[in-house]
Amino acid sequence: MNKEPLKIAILGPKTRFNDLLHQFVKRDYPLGTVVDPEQADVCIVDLDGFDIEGLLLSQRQRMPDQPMIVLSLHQPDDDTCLWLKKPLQSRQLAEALETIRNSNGIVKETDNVKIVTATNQETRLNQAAQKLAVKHKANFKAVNTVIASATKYYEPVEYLQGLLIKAYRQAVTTGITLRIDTGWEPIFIYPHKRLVWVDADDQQLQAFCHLSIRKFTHLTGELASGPSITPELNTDGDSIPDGSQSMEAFLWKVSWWNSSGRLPRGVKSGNPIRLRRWPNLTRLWCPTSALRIAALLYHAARTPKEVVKHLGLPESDVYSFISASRAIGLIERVDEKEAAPTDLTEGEEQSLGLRPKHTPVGSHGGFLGKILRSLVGG
Amino acid sequence: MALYNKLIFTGPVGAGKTTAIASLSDEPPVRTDALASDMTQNLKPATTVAMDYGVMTLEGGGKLHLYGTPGQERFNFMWEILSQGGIGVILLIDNNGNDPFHDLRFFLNRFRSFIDESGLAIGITRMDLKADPTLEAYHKEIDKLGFRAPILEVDARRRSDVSLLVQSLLFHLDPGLEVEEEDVRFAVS
Repeated sequence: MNKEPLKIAILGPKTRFNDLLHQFVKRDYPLGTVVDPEQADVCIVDLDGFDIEGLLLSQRQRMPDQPMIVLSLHQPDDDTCLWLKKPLQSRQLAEALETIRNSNGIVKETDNVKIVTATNQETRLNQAAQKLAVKHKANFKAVNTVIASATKYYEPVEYLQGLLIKAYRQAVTTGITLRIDTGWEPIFIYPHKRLVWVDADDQQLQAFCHLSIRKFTHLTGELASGPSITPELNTDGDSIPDGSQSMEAFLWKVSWWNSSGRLPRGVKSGNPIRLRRWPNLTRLWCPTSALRIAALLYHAARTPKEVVKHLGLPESDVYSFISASRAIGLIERVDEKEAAPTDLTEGEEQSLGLRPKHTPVGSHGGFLGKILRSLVGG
Repeated sequence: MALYNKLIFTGPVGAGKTTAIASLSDEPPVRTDALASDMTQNLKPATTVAMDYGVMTLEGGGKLHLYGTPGQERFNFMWEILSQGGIGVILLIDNNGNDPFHDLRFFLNRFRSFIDESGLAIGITRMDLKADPTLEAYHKEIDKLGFRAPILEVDARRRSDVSLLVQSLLFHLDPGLEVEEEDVRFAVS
């Protein structure tokens, strides 16, 4: 057995996860010591880390025979690495390090250590994202309904929504570009242009949004103390990548998807609310039902339950709309006495000013429906 | 009984009325452009002097007539004629104009009686060129004037934008209207 301490390098930028790896070697693996990659007997790399591909390639070119332990959620395509599946157990990492320490470079597979390849990280990341997306995407309406039946409320601060709102406040107040790290893709906020950028499409974002940050952390093995919001110093604020989105549109859809058909804590299904103004629906992700909900809640205060009943829409659609509208500051709570009385006829509502007076509806309501069908179908 | 089968597009010169009608019309719209000879020529070389006209064919053969009012105030005698039998007003305001709030107030006051009897939706154009005033500010402004209406950012060249603006008017008139098929959209931000 090799009695020398195993020289271990942890590849990649300083992240919470890499800090944990440092702490693990120092505290829990006395047979090893952390060194620079050039002096290392083995490198550990978190394949789910940000922009790791270049570093990995460069290290491979410099030291092609150096053993590599890769940590990731899904198995990469590389037969020159040891792969440890996340969530990572310290026992597995210790076993992998011991395997290398005792092998003099000849590595064998064990139950916890798989030999894999890591030549195409982009493909692997895409596959991982797709798996995550497929797992949680399904039909968004179906997902909403399922979750809504289990629980009616959610706590926005436990989701990306809460983190975004906090980061927006900081970014707008300080004018500094910020970066949000959750263990998923980093999210960049550019307050001067009121834009957000993340290297993920809507399908991937939607999949991520169906999990609380804590649950995502648990699934992926990011065992750090929590998500972080940090200044992004490597940008001048003007060089914003292509594909950026408006802060409002991004927060809207994140909140819609975080809601998964539930109401945010603080909005009760039996208490009246009102829409201060229409959301800018030409620039926001939404189903057509959002127009109906917006129209009703803009006319008069109603409880979420009443909106569901009045419009005959699934509870999940209404609650997601309310969640997204509240996140961008459009929902206000109203005293019950100010709310629209229920069980009024259309005429009574009009006379009380709760429904707009307009000539066509009633005598020509069918005509409006025909226009609508022409617009939606055309 | 009057037939309510008209939709009125109004707003100042250059706000996008002609383009919006063209994006919705099922037939090539009729335009009555002329070379501008007054201050309008600073904004665009040709402008609408009588009206724009387009038409949407509906199921069962019905038609929705789309009328665009001339933007210049000296043609405002046309506005009342065009408004008769209208289901509502689509007011387009150019956010890049000299004084968008002045335009907003002018057209709302001019059409107040018609709007009271029908409905209103407001589209703000060219927000990509100038972000201020914001939609929030527009809402505060119409509140002061005693109006409540959907206000949306619109690119008059995009049918989806103009369509959604008209849909917002329809739902504003009657939130109980139903769409048979769920139409999930992904808006471009």
